[in-house]
Amino acid sequence: MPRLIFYISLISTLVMLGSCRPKSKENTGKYVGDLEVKYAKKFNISEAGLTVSEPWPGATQSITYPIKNDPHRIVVTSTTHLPYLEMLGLEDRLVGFPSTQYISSEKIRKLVEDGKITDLGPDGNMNLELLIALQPDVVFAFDMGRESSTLDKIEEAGIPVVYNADYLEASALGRAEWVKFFGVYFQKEQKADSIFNHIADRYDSLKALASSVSKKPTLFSGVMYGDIWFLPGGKNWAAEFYQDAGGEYLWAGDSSTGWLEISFESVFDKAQLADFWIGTSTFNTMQELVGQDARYGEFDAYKNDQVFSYNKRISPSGGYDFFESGYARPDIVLADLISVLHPELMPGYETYYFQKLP
Amino acid sequence: MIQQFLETSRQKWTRVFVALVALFLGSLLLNISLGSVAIGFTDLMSFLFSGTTNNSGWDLILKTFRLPKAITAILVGSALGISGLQMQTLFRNPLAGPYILGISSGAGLGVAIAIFLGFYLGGFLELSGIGRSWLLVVAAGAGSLGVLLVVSLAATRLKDSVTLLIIGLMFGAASGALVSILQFFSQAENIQAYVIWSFGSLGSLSWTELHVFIPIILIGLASSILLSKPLNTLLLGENYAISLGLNLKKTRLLIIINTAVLAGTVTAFCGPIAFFGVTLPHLTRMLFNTSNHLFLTPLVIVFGAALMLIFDTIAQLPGMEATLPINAVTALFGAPFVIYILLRKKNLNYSFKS
Repeated sequence: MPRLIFYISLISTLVMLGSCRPKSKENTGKYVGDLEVKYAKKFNISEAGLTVSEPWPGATQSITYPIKNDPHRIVVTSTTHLPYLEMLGLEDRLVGFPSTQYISSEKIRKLVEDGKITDLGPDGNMNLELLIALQPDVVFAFDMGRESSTLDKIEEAGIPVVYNADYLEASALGRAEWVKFFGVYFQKEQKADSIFNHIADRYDSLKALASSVSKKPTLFSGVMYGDIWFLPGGKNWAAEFYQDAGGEYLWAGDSSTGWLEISFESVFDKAQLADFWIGTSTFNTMQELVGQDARYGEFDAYKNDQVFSYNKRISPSGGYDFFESGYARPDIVLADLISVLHPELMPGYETYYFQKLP
Repeated sequence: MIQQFLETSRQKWTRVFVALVALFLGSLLLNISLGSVAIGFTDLMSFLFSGTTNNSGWDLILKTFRLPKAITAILVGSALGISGLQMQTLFRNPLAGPYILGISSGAGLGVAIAIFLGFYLGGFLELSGIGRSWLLVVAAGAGSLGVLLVVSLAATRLKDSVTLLIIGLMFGAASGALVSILQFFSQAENIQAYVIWSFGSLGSLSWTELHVFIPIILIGLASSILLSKPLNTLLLGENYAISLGLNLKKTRLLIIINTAVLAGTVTAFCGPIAFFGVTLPHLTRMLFNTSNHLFLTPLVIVFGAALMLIFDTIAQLPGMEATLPINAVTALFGAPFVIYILLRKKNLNYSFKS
């Protein structure tokens, strides 16, 4: 019996030593101090580790994650986490993902097909037994409002959960900067820094290019559900793109960061003569739009064939790559939008996410 | 003596109907003139009489949005009121409504299957050249029709109407369970689409859909007038009605089919609009102090149309860009009104006395 207690205490000491080690290693993080977070508001890098200031909407306390020894088995829970991993060359460390059928990335789909990544069941109702059996070193998760008891259970099982709040960033570059969050966590900060700098530089030069235009075409966005039109608020992530691409978003004066729910006639009154209609949800052809509601055909943008959407890249199961990798590549999104609104500025440019609705 | 009584009664009802029709026309005008976009009254008049406001955008708003919505509101108000009235009388139960037989549950299940398998069905419909808007209509219609078939089959076999109520309840429970299983395994966007459908909406019908919607509802309303007399007999109680020579099973079947067609069509096109059908018959009986279906049926048709127009006007929040779900408005404004009248009248017994 005493021997058993001895073993237990020995093992727990070893475990504690093991988990302590990264803490002492932080001091050697010469690079960490140099890495600056410029646009993102929801995380910070310090000697103590990675601090997420608002891990879920309305969170009052920040969480600091010590930078550990390079985890090798990881689980992420949102498709938007995937492009960061892929950019950093870490996709082969993924062992599990909920609802793998919605993944767009070809590389990661291949890993799923090869059986390297386990499907953890529906998003939001992950199969905990499967997840724990995978023995991941860390789970990157997001939480819409501290309601997920699943995540607590994972932590109870001794698997560290890192809350990712990239979706709470208000600016496009701020969101893309989360590549540094993953970079630091996996000690690839220099690579992350150079990736992000490239994206930010390209974004800024494209924005400067688009700001030179004399005429800003008007545009609107979204579709109706039932009889209510959903479109991005004036301070929404999408609205910022429209402005930066040299367009005049008709609801730019609105102050909300979320989505507006307004009646058809308000939208029609304001947007009937608009030059462009950008972003048509799950409608992928002009035919589908008027098939749903003939009134869509009354917009000038529809009549003049100026309806564009982010449906150029759709996975075989219907996932939109735009909603997966678009957040990490604001430079490509902006380039696409500029070439839509001002094709003369981008001669010979082939759009990546956006296309004219056929 | 009797002659004199009938004479005063006729005068009274003429006045009531004239007043109701005036209310209906007033609320129709109010409904068309108010909305998120402010269109002046003179412009509206010139649209009504000459067909144009001299502003092509406004013309389109009036023609393709407000008019179809007003027509939908009128028919939905009448149809739900009538089916509520028929169910309350058939089951002699003040809590019965258009959906008591499980019609909205059946429609909901159909829609849930369509939405959650939508990606595959959407592609199929695209190939066959049918618009996506018909997907939900067909799915909801098929769901209600399925329920209708089972319930009518039961109705021809059962002696007791209350058993039908329980069958309806069971349908609700079973399809609710299936819907939650579907929701559990589907993505957030699909769940959102389903939830939005279940809020109900009057403004999503365009003229192409109205071409189907209007005739079905009109046929249903016309047959409801023909069913008024047997409904009066049913008020006396089923056994009494049988002894008066009423073919109970046949009448019951006709009433069920009538209600299912009305409520099922409304649900298929506009989603479940729940509260209205239960309360409108009560309101009508209390306000006009009658339980004679020869009067009640036309009263419910006109009053239901007028009331739905008013509720829809409130839901549009005139002058604001946002709108409220119609279901929320009918319950929010309807419930206190019913409570008020109940407190004044002190009881509900009037309803099922002849």
